[in-house]
Parts: sequence; structure tokens; C-alpha cells
Amino acid sequence: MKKIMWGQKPLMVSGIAVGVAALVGTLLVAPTQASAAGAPIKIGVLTDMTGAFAIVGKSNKAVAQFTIDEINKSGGVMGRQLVMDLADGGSDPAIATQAASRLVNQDKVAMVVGGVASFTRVAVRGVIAGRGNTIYIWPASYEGNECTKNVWNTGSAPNQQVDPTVKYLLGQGKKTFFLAGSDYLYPRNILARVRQDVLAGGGSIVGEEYVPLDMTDASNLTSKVLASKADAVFEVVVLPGTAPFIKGVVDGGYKGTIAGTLFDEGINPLIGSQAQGLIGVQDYYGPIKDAFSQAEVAKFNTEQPDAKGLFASTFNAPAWYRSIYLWKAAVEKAKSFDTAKVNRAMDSVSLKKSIGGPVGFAPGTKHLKLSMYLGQSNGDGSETVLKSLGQLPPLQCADASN
Amino acid sequence: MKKRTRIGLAIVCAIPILSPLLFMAGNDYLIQAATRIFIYGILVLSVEMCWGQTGIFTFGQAAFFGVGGYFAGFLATHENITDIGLILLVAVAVGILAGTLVALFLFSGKRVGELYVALVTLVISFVCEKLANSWTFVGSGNGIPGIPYPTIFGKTLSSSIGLFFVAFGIFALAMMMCIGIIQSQFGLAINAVRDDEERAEFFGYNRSALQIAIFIFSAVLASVGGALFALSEGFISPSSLGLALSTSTVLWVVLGGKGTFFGPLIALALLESVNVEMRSILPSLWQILIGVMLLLTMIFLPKGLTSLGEKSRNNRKNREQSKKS
Repeated sequence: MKKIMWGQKPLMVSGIAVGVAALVGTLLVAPTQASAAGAPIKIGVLTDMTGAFAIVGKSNKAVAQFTIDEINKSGGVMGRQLVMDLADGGSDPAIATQAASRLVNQDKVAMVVGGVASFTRVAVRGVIAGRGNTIYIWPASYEGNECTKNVWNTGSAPNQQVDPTVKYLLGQGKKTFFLAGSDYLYPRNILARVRQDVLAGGGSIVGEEYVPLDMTDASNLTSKVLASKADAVFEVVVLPGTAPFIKGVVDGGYKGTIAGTLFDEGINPLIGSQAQGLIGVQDYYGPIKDAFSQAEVAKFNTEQPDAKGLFASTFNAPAWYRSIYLWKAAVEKAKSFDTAKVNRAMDSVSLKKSIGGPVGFAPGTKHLKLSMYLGQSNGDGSETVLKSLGQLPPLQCADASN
Repeated sequence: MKKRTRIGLAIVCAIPILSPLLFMAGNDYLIQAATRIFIYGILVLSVEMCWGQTGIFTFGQAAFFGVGGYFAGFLATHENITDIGLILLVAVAVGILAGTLVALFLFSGKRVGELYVALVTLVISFVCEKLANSWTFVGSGNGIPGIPYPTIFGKTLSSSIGLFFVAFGIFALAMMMCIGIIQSQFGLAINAVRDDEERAEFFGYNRSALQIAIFIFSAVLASVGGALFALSEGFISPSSLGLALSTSTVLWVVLGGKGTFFGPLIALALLESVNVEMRSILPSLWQILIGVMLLLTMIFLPKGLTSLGEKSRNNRKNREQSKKS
């Protein structure tokens, strides 16, 4: 026999070795634990600890740990302590589905909260909420239309962010708009909403451009924006393209207003002094006048020193916080951890206090009535709250039947 | 085929089928993990056929994997074609087409260096990822999510264990084809090309035809693997075409031992099965650890982990000889 398999070893030995390797490999993965009465309840935390969104993952993990610690200190959920089961999505849907499968099928978590980018959500929701029949909470401001069974959205829907922003811009006398975004689901849907609002409000669209997700050289897009002489730019160019794009436009002498859905204390520092004057709407900003939020975020910064300053709306921090509390409220209302029962209870739960203000599910929509704020960025990275918009309803899944 | 080889093959087939069943019954995560290992296994075989057996250093094999996956995803979501046989046939055709294009470009003319091939294939993988990321028609950054379960003779294949058997069956078929090729006269010829292109040509072998044939065969394997990936995972995204997967595949082959079939497969099985855990336990360190492992292997065990046994035997022999003298 020729030396193709192992050099000199016979094929049979190699065959056994492959089998053994497969075995060892699968056994290395920890054995399943049955959740006995009184044992801690596992909360699946799926976020990107590595890859492009690692900075978001760092914030998400800290917020999840902070929230779980806080719930445990106040007695847990129905007398059971919570424990965080962290899985890294690797900023790559192929890794995230594997991680999600581990949480649901191996660790048998009670629910999963997480996902950073929409492409992760659409990849893992089948594994978790579909085949896995487990509650999946998607804690991100996103493009809308996520109405899948067992999935609950705790970030803002497009209308909650876009409508007030466009209304403000039109109120400031802006007539012509340029729309710019990264080329994937989220920016396209957000900008579709912007277009609709602008046209309904009597404005006009003078340009609409999409750039690849990983664009870093923004010169082409920048020159198109400058040439359009639009009164306002609405941009959803995500990282890493955000900073080069905005710097390019501002340094190019743009005179109008730049608005978007991704500006706050988390992203501003990456843009630098050119962040001055950016307009947006979020569910939380550092300076909002809410004693509970102020106290909680201060506590977060002390308890999670590694993630100090990472409690930002664009990192989905407020949404992660309320996700776990909303789930807790639903479990307590249902008096059960059973997916179907929690699902029914979830439809109408609310929190009187949460970071950013009171929130609650708008029954039948799978989305939250959220307290929103209109903010303006400053050159030093901070935000100024221009206006508190109160609780805004989501316009989503009108006839969702859980 | 020798008797010993046949027994070996039987064991190779039996153990992986039986062991998961015993240990994974009811645990979908383990079954899915094993399925993925066999699917990536097909990709590893394709790199091993090119690089380990023929000396074609393909650094961008994920491009063919992803293209197969995208075609499968497109057929299933846009054309409502879910029959697995039909989809895999299309994947074969796509692999032949894509492989032929690249192979003709690389090998039809004068001899080119190993690094040249590596660079060109790497660039192809890079360009494919960029293209998928910016082409709205194939979903841009989102890729194609929500690919329905495949059907087999009209029945929907929705259980993890069903998908596992399909993946394993195709992997086993691919493995047998590879072994068959290597043990044939044709196998001798491609090994000759690997060892010395000039001499092989001098002996009258058509070097360019051999390289083109193996490259196309590899592209077909990768494309079929990608289609299986899309069907079993339910989505395909630009990362499946790109540098990360291409590099991982080369890494498995280097770690396991280029020139052998089982070494790379073992490296793949071990690394993939701990990957999810390690990423969560040591998010910032795990990738670095893999890099260090790769470096150490290249420095101390250039033939990969599978040469460990050979090396220790040689050491013992050397010691015995030095004692005698």
C-alpha cells in the first residue's frame, strides 16, 4: 500500500484514529445538565466577543452580567438564581448559529438574548425560536418586520427613531435630503422609512447611495454628497465606514445637517470633533433627566469597571438591560418557565422603571412602546438632549399572533 | 484494493456513524456539530487533493465552497427547488464551471510557481467575499437567510440526524473517490507532478492537463460541500466565501499534516469541536492560541501532527543506533 494515509501507518489504524478523534471532540463538549428544581436558571447570552463587533460584545456581556447580578441580589426569578451562559457569535453568522445551537440544544437555556447585527438574527432565529422552541429576545434598534413566533424585539423600530428625526429636520426648514447607507437589510429599510417620511412631509430626495458593508474609503460617497448640496444628509453607514464618511463630508465643507440612527456617546468618540451637530433619536443618552437611569448607569460603571463608559444606546445597552427584566416579569406573570406560557405573558408585560424610562410591550406587536429622546452630538463625544419625546408606539407586526 | 484497505475503509465508515449515534442521541447540538465537521471535511479533502497530493497550493478554496452554497440558497429560496439531489447536481455543475475557469487561467500555459497559485486563489476568495458583500441581488451583507430544509424523494429532511446522514454519506463518497484516485495510476501521476513538475513533464505526462483535472475535481468537492452547508445550516453569507474560511482550511491541512488524508480531518474535528467553547471561554486568546499552534507545528513538525509518531520512531531508532555504536 502506498504512503498516502499516514506516511507509514496502515489505513486501519488511521480509520480508528479518525473515529476516536470525532468521539473525543464531541465528548469534550460538556455533558447536558438537567435543570432540577431549585437549580439556577441559565440565561443564554449570545453576542460577538470577537470580530468586527467585539466592542459591542464587550458592552453586551457586561450589561447582561450586571442585570443578572442585580436580579439575583433581589431574590432571582421565582426564587431561582440566574446564571449567565455566554456564547460568542464571532461577528459571523456561521459561528453564531453554532453558538446558538449550543445554548439551546446542549445547555438547555431558559431563553436567549442577543445578536448584534441583523444578519446574525436572521441566521440564529430558526435555531433558537424555531427548531429550538425557546424564547429569543432581540435587543437591538433595527430595520423592523421581525414578527417570528417566540421572538421578541426590545430595541426601537424604524418609526420610533426615524419619524421624529425627519420631523425635526423638516421643522428646521430642511427641504432636500441625501440618503446614504451600508448595503444590507438594516440601512435599506431605515432609509426606505426616511424616504417615505420626507416625501410625506413635502421634502424631496436628491440622492440615495449604498456602499459595501466593509467600506473604509468614503471619498466617492463623500463627493456625491457634497455635489448634491442637500439641506440634510440621513446616513446609516455602519462601522467601520461611519467615521471616514462623516469626517469626509464635514471636512469637505458641508453646510447642511447630518442625521442618522447610530450617533451617541458610544459612536461619537470614533468620529472625533466632526461629530459636532449630528442629529439622532435614541432610547437613552447619558444626560437624560431620569434619576433611576442616572443611578443605575453609575452603579454599572462601578460594578463593571472593564466596560466603564460602554453603556450606550448604539451598543444596545439599555435594550439588553430591559430584555432580561421584561423576561423576568413575563415568567413571574406566567408563574412558569415554559416557553408557551412565557410567550403569552410577554405580550403585555411592562416595566415602570428601566434605564432610559418606562417601557412595555404594545400588545399584538412583539415590539415595545419606548421612551425616546432627540439628541445632538458634541465635538467632545458627548450628547445634548434637545427634547424628550415621551413614549412612542411601535408600528410593527400589527396582527402578530405570538 | 487490498483486503487491509477494505477493512480500514469499513472501520472509517462505521466508527463515525456509530459513535455519534451512541453519544449524541437526543442532543441536536452535537449532531449538528458532527454534521458541520463532515461538511468542512469535504472542503478539507478538496484542499488536500490539490495541495497535499498535486502540489497546487490553493489558498482560496472557500470561494468554490461559498459559490456552491449561494447557488443552493438561491435555488431553494428564489426558485423553490428543494430537492437535494437536484441541488447537489447543480452544485457539481457550478463547481465544474468555476473550477474550469480558474484552472484554465492558472495551468493551461507555462508552469507557474506555488506562491503564484496561492496568491491568485487567495485573491479570488477575497474578491468573491467583497462581491457578495456588495451585491444586493444575493442579499449583500445579509447573505441568503431562511433557506428551507431540503427534500429527498419529496419528503422534507428536517431532522438533525437526517441531515447528518446525508452529510456523512456524501463525505464518505468523496473520501472514497479521493482514495480511489490516489491509489490509481492517475494518482501516481499527480504525485509525480507534485514532487517534480519538470521531471513529470520530461517523462511525457501532460502536467497541465493533470493539474487542471485535479483542480476541477477539488472545486466540485468544495462546491458540493458549500451546497450541503447552506442546506443544513439554513443560510449562506459572505463569510462562507471568504478569507477566514479559506485560511482555516489551509490551517487544518497544515496542522494535521499535508500529504495525508486523515491528519487534516483529525485537526478539523478537534479544532471545530472545541471552537465554540473556547471562543466563549477565551474570546481574545483563542485565535492567538491557534496561531501559536500553527507556528509551532510549522517549526517543529513541518509534516503536521500526524508525523509525531514517525518522528518518535526515528528518534528511538537513532538512540538505539547510537547505543550500538
